[in-house]
Amino acid sequence: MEKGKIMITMPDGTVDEVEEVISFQFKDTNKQYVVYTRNEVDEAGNVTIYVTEMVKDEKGTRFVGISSEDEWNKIKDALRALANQN
Amino acid sequence: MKENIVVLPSNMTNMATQSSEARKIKVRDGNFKGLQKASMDTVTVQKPLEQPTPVAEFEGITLRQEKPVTTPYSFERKPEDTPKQVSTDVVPDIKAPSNLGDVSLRLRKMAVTSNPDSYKGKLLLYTVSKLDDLDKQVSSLKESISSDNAVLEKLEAAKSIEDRDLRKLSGVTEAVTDSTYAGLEIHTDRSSDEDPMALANIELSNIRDGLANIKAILESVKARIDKLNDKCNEIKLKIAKTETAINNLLQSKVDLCNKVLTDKLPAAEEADRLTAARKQQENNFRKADGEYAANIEMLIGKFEFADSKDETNPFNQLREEQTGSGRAA
Repeated sequence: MEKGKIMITMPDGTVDEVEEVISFQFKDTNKQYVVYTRNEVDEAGNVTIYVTEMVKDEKGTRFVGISSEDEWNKIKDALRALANQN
Repeated sequence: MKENIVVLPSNMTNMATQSSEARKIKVRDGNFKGLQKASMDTVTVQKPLEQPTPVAEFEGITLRQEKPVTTPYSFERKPEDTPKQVSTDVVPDIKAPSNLGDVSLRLRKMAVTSNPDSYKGKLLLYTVSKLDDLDKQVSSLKESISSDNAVLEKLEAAKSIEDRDLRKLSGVTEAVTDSTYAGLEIHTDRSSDEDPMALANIELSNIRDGLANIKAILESVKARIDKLNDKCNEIKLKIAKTETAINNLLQSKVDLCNKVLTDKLPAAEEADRLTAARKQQENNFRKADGEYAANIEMLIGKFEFADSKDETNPFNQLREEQTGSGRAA
């Protein structure tokens, strides 16, 4: 397995290989999120990234999406901060 | 409000199952690279309204907004916006006892076939009149519920329209925010003498004004929705209370029927039986009295015939008393 690569088993059973961009956790909720990409770039040069909550339990590691718009807005704020911290 | 995030080590996971679709977002290449490079342990994130957020980079210069563009409204309604729940101490549905109709009908039939002059008949007629009265009250309350439901339906329809408007406006806000990046990118591509930074700041100023207008509209829509929610909840509460009242009336019907069948009716039947027995006894007594009087007459007649002049004859004395009392009467 290459570094930064994640094999995702999709709901239809297909396996998709993606590239991890960053993983982070909110301290207040302890929820963990993974940001990954399929390196899709549009004509304007924008890169498409995917964000999902990551849950690890006895069933293994599961990507469960983002449940609410409030959570999504909070994540976007976090992504802006992370992207501009350097 | 500050919220901390912790950057997790890369390669924390290399296999996963996607159970729900991930959110997709496009980012500028610079931001993408920034995300890839982010490695510090803890980052403090502030909401854009509190801290200017970098919105674009131009030839190594980071442009910042004086008042940052933000997405202040989510598409989803916040918990405090959700309709207040109807108090749970009210009964939500009308639950008539399953056998109430049968019992009520049985009493009505008995009332028709009973002697209206008997205790049982009178009791049953009174019971039927009470049941009719309760039925009228239930019907009236049900009509009130129908009317309230019609109003509620109209309010819900109005709320749905306002909700749709709210979503549309939220979408506009999102679109305007997203266009911030796009607009700035366009400026970077322009090959004119105009100062791209000044243009960008004008652009941002326009966007801020647009967002402020949208925000005002959004807040008025939200206020209208809140009012509609309050009104809906008020009516829902009223309906629930009416349903409780109906349930109480139905329970009164059940109690009345049970009391009549198990207590009052047997007592009325016993009273009727005793009355009949008393009447029978009175009849018997009257009959016996008549027979006795006839016998006396017969005996008097015999002695009168035998010796009507003998005043010492006790039977003649008795006859005198009888006829004298008869005359006196």
